[in-house]
Amino acid sequence: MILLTEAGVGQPAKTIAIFGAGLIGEATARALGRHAALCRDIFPLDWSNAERQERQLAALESKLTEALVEAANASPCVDLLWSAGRAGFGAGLGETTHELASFQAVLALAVRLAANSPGARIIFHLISSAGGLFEGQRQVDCRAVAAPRRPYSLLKQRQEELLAAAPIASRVYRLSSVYGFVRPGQRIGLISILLLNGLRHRVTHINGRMSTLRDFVFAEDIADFLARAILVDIALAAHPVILAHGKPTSIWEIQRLIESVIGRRIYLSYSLMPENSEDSTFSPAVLPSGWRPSDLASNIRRIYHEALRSGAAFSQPQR
Amino acid sequence: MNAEKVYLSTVTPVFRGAAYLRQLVAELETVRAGLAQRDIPLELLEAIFVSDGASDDSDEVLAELTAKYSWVRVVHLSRNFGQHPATIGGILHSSGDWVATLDEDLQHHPRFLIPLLARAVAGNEDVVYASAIKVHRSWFRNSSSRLYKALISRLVGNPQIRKFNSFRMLRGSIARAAAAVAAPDSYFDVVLCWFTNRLDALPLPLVDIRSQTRAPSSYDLSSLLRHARRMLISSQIKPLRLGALVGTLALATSIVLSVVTLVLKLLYPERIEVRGWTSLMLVSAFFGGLISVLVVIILEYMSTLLTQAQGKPTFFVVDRSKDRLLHDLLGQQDPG
Repeated sequence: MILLTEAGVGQPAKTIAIFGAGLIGEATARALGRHAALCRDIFPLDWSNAERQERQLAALESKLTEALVEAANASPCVDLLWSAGRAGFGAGLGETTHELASFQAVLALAVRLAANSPGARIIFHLISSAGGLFEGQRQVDCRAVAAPRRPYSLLKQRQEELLAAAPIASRVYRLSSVYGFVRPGQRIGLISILLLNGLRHRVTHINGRMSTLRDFVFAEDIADFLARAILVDIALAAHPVILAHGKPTSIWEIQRLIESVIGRRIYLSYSLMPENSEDSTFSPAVLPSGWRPSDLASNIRRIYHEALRSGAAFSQPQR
Repeated sequence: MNAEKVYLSTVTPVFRGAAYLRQLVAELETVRAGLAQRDIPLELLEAIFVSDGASDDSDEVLAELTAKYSWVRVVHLSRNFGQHPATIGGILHSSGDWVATLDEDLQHHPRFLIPLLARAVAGNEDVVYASAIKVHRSWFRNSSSRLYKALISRLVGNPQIRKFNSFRMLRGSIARAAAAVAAPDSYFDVVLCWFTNRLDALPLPLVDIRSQTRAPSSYDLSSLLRHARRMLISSQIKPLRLGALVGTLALATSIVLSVVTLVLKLLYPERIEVRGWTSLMLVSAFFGGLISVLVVIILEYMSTLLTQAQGKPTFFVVDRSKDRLLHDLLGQQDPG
């Protein structure tokens, strides 16, 4: 867990707690650091042991309460960002149940903070999954109805429901398929996996078809948007908001883009009975103002050069 | 949205179409509403307009239409790239099971969309082109276009080229795959032939409104010539192989005649009346043939590398199972 506090001469007025320092959490922490002078602490949080997690959350709560009390005269604000995602798209019921319990514990912490600090602004930001909630739907727009099909999607829907029912200010960001820079030990998304396996001459197995359409968003774009939403408190027209690119991309197109960047063929194998082959695309009309998704081809080049420069191309990532 | 539904996207490159766009969208709306009324599992999902550095008020008109119709989408290219790149860009933004490409000026009337789709589904085709019964009033333009296609078709050995037309109904997965590999100088329809040979043409009574009203065409003679050049360089040219055949024949003939001449020289030297001429001709034929064969081999290598660089696939997988949803429902559509 990453804890960021606004640095300054006076008392900290803004505290941001990021739960889940993965692809999005870490990128958001970096983006927040670019936008404002923030002190960064890494706070331990155990995801596997409930008792230890409870103790750690209690310690965090007292730290946040202390910060709120110290800054009582400076309109203090605490933003909690839930970007944890141990359970991936293909997770089973056991993993999602475990993750839901952790989410409920953090949400309860936020509710207590809000109740105990009436003068403070406590905002809970939830990273949800548009790809999961609208799986198999095309040109998803504001009329689309969420129809989760797998435990992961049900988890996201339940998290949204719990947050909506909680007496706390909240924001929900539904993301399409996320890709981002390669970091050792982190999940990095399909595009970076294809890129790395291409560099290593390894075969990537695709649980879809060559023509399967997805909407890919860059973690850095999301992080930049989240940072502005947290720091500037930008007005969001719809609640929850969908952060997608608005341009569908087939696996075949991704393959061609990656091959042109790395200058060699990449090896793919496809499932004969793919479980995840239905197209999921989003209408640009559903995207919020102020959201500026960047170009996929340029981002693949950025990821490639960054992976080579940092040596991450030669480390072992999680999918 | 129902998963068991077939979705149709349209792609229209826009360069100088402000005068036609409102009517075009109104006609598309008629098609869309007609499909909804018929309660068949087919929906006009989106109409994508690609503003190709539009030189008139098209952008303003498109902004107005986007605000009015939720299914109208606009993609703005950073400059004028031409009709083919604009079409490719639009296709890459589409997500329909079928993608129709049509011009901005109603020459490709939306009422023909369903007949084109019906032909594609009935014939299990991947691409159906509109075959204009009479397009342009200009005799010269009609004839030159036909003649050029016939010539190139013969030259590159691809009979499908005669069917090529910018009004087409494409299977979405194949259209997007071809669009993803098409290089700046690729002719999109030639690239489509890398992915499928299930192409058909449907005769339709297309009307060139621009030539009737003497309005300037979006794409002038120079762009049509660029079109022609692009078609030629996207294709592998058969005469190369003819060159290899001629070279091999010259080489083989020179070797046979050399043996004959050598035998004559050794056994019947008195029969050789002019000395030196035969040897000179044989050496010329031998090296001429050898050079021709080597050049063709080098050109074949280059051609292979070029098509590989352009992204010609080793294979491509297609799923045509959704066609069954429309097969009986669309039936035979009257193109008129």
